[in-house]
Amino acid sequence: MTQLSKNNDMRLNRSCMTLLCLISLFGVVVFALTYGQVHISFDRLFSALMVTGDDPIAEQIVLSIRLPRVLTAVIAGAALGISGVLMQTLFRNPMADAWSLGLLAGGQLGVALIVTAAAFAGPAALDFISGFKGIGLTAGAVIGIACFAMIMIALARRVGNITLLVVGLMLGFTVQGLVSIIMHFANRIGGRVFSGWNDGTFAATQMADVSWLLVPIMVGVFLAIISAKGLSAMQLGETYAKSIGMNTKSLRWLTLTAVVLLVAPVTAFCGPVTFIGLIVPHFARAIARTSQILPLLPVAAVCGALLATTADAVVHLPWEQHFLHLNAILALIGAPVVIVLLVFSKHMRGTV
Amino acid sequence: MLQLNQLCCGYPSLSKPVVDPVETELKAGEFVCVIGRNGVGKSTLMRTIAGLQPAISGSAHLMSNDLAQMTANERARHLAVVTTVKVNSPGLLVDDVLALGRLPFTNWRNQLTQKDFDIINNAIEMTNISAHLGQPLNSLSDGQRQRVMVARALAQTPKVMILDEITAFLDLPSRVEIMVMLRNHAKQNNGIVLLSSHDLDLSLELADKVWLMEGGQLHDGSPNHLIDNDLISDAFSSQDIGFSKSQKRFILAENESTPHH
Repeated sequence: MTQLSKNNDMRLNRSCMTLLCLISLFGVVVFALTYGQVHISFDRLFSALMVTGDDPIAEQIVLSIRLPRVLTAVIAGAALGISGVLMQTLFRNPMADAWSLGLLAGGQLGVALIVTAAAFAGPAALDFISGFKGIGLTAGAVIGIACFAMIMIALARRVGNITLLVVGLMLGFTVQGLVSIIMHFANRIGGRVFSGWNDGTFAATQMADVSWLLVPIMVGVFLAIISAKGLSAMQLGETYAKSIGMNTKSLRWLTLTAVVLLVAPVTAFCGPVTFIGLIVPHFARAIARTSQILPLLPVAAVCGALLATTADAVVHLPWEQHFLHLNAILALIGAPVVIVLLVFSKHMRGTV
Repeated sequence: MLQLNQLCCGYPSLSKPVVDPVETELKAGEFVCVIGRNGVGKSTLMRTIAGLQPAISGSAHLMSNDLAQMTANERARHLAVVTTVKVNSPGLLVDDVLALGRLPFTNWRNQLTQKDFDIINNAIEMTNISAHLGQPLNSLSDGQRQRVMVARALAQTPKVMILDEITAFLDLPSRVEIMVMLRNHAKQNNGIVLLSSHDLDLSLELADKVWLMEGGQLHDGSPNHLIDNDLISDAFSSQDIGFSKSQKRFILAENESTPHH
């Protein structure tokens, strides 16, 4: 290759791969809806989804238990995948995501404080929060994540990538310590509300919650699309991004807002979900074979949804006992991927 | 074409400006080398002209438009910058970097037209980097990266190119090649190339005009003018090295005085 030209082959290849991921996603979704403690055939699934009323048991299982869970996994996975692309580009750090840079820890702290405040206010307030996650926990997560995001972006200008990752890790530990002290002084019900939330899962949402989840995420996706061009430039660093016409200051705010809108609702409804935002951007780049941000976003969304639904499906296989945790499965997939990337990928050499 | 009106640059946190007010003008087609010792303010002056940091006072006008008043995007359509900042981003391909040079001209989706591709391919040819296409930027050597960044700046089709110590990582033949290419580019394009370098011999040889910076002052003129007025030798000579007017280059000082024991 001695010239640069419109590479239609690559674009076709990208579309094919994305389509393949979409088909796999559809397969996993159908599997998750049909397979479980109770097996539901395709016919019954179809009639349940159409709400025909012929099969109340199937409707009950599909519509109020499985569908909210699977929809949550799809939406949350897509949101986390996109947020990972935004974080890694904004911080120019291939190991950056909301979890590794301590933003989720901020969310945990915010939620713990809200729960504790409610516990002190009385059982009615606690009922309100745990029954109506939409506002209470989201507010806590948004405030916590936004604060920690601002701390990290300010810090990123002063320290290197590795230092930043270690600081993110240490923030996580600090918050864990703080949270157990806070919980120590909160009452037992508050503690139960928090630890129920703190175990990441897509199964805690009702159908009504899904729209609460979806609205801020849609706004976040919109902001991500707007900031895509600037983020492409940001890969060259701040000086170059400015020199090719980007207003880096407003871009930073725009992107951080997008990240908070994408991550906070997921964290509020599902608890801290690890690894998706960290590894999905790498899969997306490998599939899209470009580091332009805009074509990367849909690929990252589909990959994230696929990873989230798959991990969730494994958790909810009809096991004898229910001890599997979502984050355990994600860690089993994610941690080896990170190790392989760091050790073997030529794209990563010298970037961390 | 590029006019500096009492442009004074530095940092608000310092009590005194790094560079005293500069009043000068560059004409279309000029290849200008900025020379001076470390820390004398070359980068500060160039960054200020490029709009990457605000001026303390005064202004820089390009074709009678104040550069500081332009939006970042407008400025990027007229002025391209290459620095020694090392670009390091996961998965960033050489192709992506070159495509980013067209960013000030593309739509919100950053789509390239055939014209954009033609411009980029021209820049690839000028800088001789076609062998690196399709490779991750991380896999290139420092000198190769620098060539890619120059190609990206050329793809920006700027009137003014500001290049800060870009030849530092290049070997001598590459250094000459790039500087000659930039000089020809300025002529053919009727643009201005402003290049800072520590390569004094080459700068004095190739530049149409030299900006010599010393002690917060900027002396500008043709290389011969600066040499004849002893400004070059005053700025750079030390007990170990001196400037030979006849040879127009620096030579090691004759070690006449033997060390006392």
